[in-house]
Amino acid sequence: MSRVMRRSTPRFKQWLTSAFRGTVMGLLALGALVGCSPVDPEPESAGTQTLTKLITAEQYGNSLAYIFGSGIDAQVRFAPVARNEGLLANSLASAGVSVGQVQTIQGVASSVAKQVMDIENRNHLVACRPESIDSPDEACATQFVSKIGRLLFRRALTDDEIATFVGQASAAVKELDGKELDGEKLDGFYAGLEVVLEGLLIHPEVLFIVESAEPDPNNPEQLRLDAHSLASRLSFFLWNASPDDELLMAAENGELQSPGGVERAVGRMLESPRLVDGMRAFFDDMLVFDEFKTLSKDATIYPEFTSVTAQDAREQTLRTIIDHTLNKDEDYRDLFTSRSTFMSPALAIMYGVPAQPGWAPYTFPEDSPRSGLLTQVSFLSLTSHPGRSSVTLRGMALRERLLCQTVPEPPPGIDFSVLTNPDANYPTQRQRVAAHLETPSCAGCHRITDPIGLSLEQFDGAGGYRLTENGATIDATGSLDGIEFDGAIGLGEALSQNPALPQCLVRRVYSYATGGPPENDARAALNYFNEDFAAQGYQLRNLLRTIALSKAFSLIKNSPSEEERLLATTSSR
Amino acid sequence: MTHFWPGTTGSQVRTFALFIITLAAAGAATAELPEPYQKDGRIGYVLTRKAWVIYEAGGVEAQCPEGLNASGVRQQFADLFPMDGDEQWTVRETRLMREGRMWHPETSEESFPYLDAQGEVAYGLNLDGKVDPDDFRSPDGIEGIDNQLQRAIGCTPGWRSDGQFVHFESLFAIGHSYNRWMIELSGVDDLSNDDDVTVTTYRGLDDLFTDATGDGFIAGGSQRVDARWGQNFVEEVKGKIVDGVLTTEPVKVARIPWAMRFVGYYDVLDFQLQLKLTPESAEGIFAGYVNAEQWTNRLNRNWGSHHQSYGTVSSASEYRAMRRLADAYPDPETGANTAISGAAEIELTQVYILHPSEQ
Amino acid sequence: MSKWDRRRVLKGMVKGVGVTVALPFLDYFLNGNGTAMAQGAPMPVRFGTWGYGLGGTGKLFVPQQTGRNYQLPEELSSWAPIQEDVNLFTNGNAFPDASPNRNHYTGWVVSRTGIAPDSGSGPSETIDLTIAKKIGGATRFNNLTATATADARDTYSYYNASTPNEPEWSPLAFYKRLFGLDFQDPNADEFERDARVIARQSVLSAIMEQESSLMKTVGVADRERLDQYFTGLRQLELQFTQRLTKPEPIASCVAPGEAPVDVAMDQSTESIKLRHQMMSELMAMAVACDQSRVFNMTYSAAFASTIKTGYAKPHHTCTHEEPVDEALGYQENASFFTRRAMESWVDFVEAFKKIPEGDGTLLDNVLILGTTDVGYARTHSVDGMSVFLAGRAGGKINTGNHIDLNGGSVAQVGYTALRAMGVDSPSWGTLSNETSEVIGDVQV
Repeated sequence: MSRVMRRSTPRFKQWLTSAFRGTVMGLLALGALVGCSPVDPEPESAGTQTLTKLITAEQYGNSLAYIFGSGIDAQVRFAPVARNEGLLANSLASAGVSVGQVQTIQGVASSVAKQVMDIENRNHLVACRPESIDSPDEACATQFVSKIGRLLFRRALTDDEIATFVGQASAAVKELDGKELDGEKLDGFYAGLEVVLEGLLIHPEVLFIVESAEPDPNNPEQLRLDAHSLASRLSFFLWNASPDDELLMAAENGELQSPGGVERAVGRMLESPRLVDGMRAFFDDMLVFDEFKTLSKDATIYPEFTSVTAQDAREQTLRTIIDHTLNKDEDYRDLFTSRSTFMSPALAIMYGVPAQPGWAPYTFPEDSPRSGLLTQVSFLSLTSHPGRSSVTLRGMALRERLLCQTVPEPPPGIDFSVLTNPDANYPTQRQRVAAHLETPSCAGCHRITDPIGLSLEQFDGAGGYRLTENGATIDATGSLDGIEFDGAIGLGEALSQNPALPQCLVRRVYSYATGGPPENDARAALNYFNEDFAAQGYQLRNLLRTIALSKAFSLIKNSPSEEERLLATTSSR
Repeated sequence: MTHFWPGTTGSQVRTFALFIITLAAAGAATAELPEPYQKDGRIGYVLTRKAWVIYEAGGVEAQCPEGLNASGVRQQFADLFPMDGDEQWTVRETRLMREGRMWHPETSEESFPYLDAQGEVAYGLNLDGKVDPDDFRSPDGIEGIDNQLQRAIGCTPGWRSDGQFVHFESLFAIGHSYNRWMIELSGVDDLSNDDDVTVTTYRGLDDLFTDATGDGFIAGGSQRVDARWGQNFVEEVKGKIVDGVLTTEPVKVARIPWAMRFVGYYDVLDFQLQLKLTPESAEGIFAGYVNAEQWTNRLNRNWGSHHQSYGTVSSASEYRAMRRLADAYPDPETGANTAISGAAEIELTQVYILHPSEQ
Repeated sequence: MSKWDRRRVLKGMVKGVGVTVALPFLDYFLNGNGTAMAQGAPMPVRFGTWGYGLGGTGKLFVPQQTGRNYQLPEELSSWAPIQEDVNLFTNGNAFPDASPNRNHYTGWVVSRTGIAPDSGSGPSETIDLTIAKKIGGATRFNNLTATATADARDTYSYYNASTPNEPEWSPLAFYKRLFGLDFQDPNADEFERDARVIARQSVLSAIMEQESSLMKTVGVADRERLDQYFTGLRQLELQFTQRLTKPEPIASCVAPGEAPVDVAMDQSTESIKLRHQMMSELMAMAVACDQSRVFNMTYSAAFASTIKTGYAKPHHTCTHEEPVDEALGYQENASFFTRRAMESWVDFVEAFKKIPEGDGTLLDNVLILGTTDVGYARTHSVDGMSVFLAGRAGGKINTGNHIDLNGGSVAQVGYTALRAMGVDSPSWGTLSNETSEVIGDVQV
């Protein structure tokens, strides 16, 4: 019953949205929704593999912030990983750590440990007081190591482990107490603890999230994530951080996998403000916003586009998405037509509007040429060259990032003279790229990208609005999968109605949640998520809940290597 | 609604032909581009450069045939109190005495030579409506220009276009938001020609937006009006725009921020603006009279001995010249003029002005 | 001699504004006994790589004569000061064989691994890290890797397909890493063992003891990744050990005493040149100070995004879209980018040549492999490709030659380098790129 109630609300919202939109399509969709029966239960699922994932710099930083508070300046920077099927997150289960990177991580660890044990912080970050600050105190060290170690390792440390680290701390006290280093006289107890904390922070179990499986008690033939691995998978998925104390406790005392346990845990996580961090990280990844780190424009061509513009453009889109999907629980598809956003003074210059200091909600007026994410400076500037727009990059980005389609790489060894000769001085991009579409070796791909990009041509390479290029009026007609329109607003409308749009989000969220691109046998699960997402009015929070609670999320495939691991683990632990 | 900028109205209305989708706001959509910077007949500009202007065509030889003033405050001190003899000086009769001269300037004769600028051409406006023999001709050939300040400071290195005051005044004007000075035009029907516009001056609160090259300013930024402490900077005056040039009627007293926060401002009497306007920027001059006493006081408070001496400025000597050349506001008792005419070159960049009601 | 007492000043553009940056400079005065160094011990031979994107413009890039004293073509005109120190190989091929020819990828990957990459796969271990396995373990850093592009993704060095060797991209951060607090000046008079390092080393050993139990919890593929991590920890341990050992003095090591100013991080040729020069000089000095024996520099990525200020098309787009200038007969702007890249290659080689070592310079004791991703920029072809080898590898290599590879695999050059560095491998590369012959013309 409660499940039905939960679903009826979004449907009502969907009805309202459609009614306001007043489109035939909307009414048709409504009819279809009202007519359909509730979504069938989740199909049988093979589950996923257990993975050994490299923690990201952001996750490491978020976890440290949870453990030590935001006052610790972690300056974490890890090597960038390759994008795999649309997400950086999909590569974490195969990414390695280079020798050089270990040194970088050690540097971070050393700096964090030093800050924690600094006289300003240690009294509140080390919960106990040593008997004396210049000699070992095993009780206090044990308390610190076991508490911090549990949060860092995402599991309780074994007695042996605790004994080892406490022993190291005590030995270090003798080595360090009273020594003068970098102009400071060391207090032995804290100096010893600092060295041990530094070691914990570079421990492979902290840097690698090792998932493990256990037989499912309800079906001993089937494997599932064990409680700690489930807690970690949930926490990195929804919060982009290690599990908190409460979640770890639920994993430790069996509550998490008891009836209703995971529903309670997920419910709590979805209502937590930390969900915002998690979803910002997800959309940052999905929208390829890591490119902002290196985005720069030619200052002589776009003097109005500064590094602050770039930073704010990213922030604007993330704020828009979070507000739309989590604060207002609105239909994901409407992000591409919505006129609601947020504005900062630096960004307002690009949009030609006034702005107050700081961030404030902003609605593009009805007669503005902008509505939806595609018309925001982030998308437009990121998919352009430093000195001009690119119809191909924009079309490709829309297909790959938002519709999960693959645009093939250009063939090698092309003679581009057809494109450039005899006269490359065409005033507009439409004329310049026309050659793509006339040349058979190019047309195949450019036909699926360029008509999208051409409809965004009224926005220049920095995201500013323009009506002409080199004096010629821009023709912004374009098309997307058979739907034709004139300009960016039409493109946004067409995209929002494209069935691949929500399906792509589902695919990306599921890969992000489980750590890798879905395998072929996940198709049934994906179909189920798609239907459920539609039935629940394309609300993100509901999609997260459905995926987090699904069998496809927590069941583990039986495989020879998994069995080998299980045997090895049980015999060694 | 009137279209303000010529040449853009044709592209204002765009229709978006949609294949299956009809927008709720069917029909016309006004783009953000054609009229980017004004709303309801208003357009704002914020000051990004300011310096007292000297007409320097022909170079030093033309205006200062006898050379430039060479004795700034330190040089004068050294001349008066040579340290190479046996003479013993007290602080009171040396430093404190000279300090006193700066803060309580006199019009009495002094031993240092002071060179006035020569020439017949100056920037500025005809402030008194008369063409007097000692008036200048503008570079555009207009007679009756009042700019006696040019004579008074035109041969002092610190005030010339390569001098440090020109550099530092703009640097401070740009760098500190307490010096933010802006104007808003309202009732504008056409930025090229409009015989009745209102110009209001304000102090702003926010930083300027520099462009990606680091040395330009971007139009389209926003500035809040300082409604709390900036009331003294608010003046309203009528003006007209002819062929893109705005000229205002005089404001009795306008307050202009100078440089340092604690000094705040100086008064320009019978203040007038003459600015070439574009949707993105305004540049030209302001002209008016400054009271020699107040101006000298503010000069000393803004720029200490080291700034003055680098530009071989001595405010005590300069004061004498200003009083000697003063051309308005006679002292009711002595009949001697107390204020001197002058002009400053200014540049402004368009900005959205946010009034208290909009903040 | 006072260290770094003469400061070179480089004028650069920061956000379009001219700035003056005091650089750690390397052309310091010899103290008269620059040759009396290392107490007669033979200088180790060091290996490095340098990479840039998008090849060159055919005849403008390839000299007409082979052998020595060839006439420098237009795009290589900046090479004059280093012509005698470099071997230029042209007309090479990167054979894709059955793998797809992957634009901007196959070319450099074959040059550095001898193996054409499969679709969707990263490169296998690159030559620098193969050599680092042999000679990288003796120094504080196993290898040094940097990029002038300000983009941490631009590296031509890979441990394996999924582990790129992350480059340092900020000159300031690079300085701090090399010559910051942890740097032990080999010529310092005083040496004190750092008690904290002793403690760190002990904790690290305790962690390493857990290696075998942790390995059991993961599958085979992940074991390799964890093993790599433990290799990193072992290198860290080695570093700690070195920090507890007084280093031998090295006369040619003159550490910069002052951090460089960090410069603009944009993609203009001016900024890239400046960053490249700063990092090259830091890198060369770090090699002279024996902080590492393997080093890599990226000047531009294969999809080079370098921009010419005021010109709308970045390098890569320009090679595609710029029309051939009818009067000149080539793409003027594309060639502009190539020329700038070559100037920076000269800067790189000169950074090593400026440091005296033994009877000659540091360059005599290094070998630097320079690679690119395509032959002819405009068509992105993987034939007609060039490779460079700079330095004399401790006397094993003759320099100053232009060698026509006659369409043979560019992997021949890599193999020649590998052998010169003492890696005793009977062959290198696979399929058509496999090679077991060193190029005789450059061997002493």
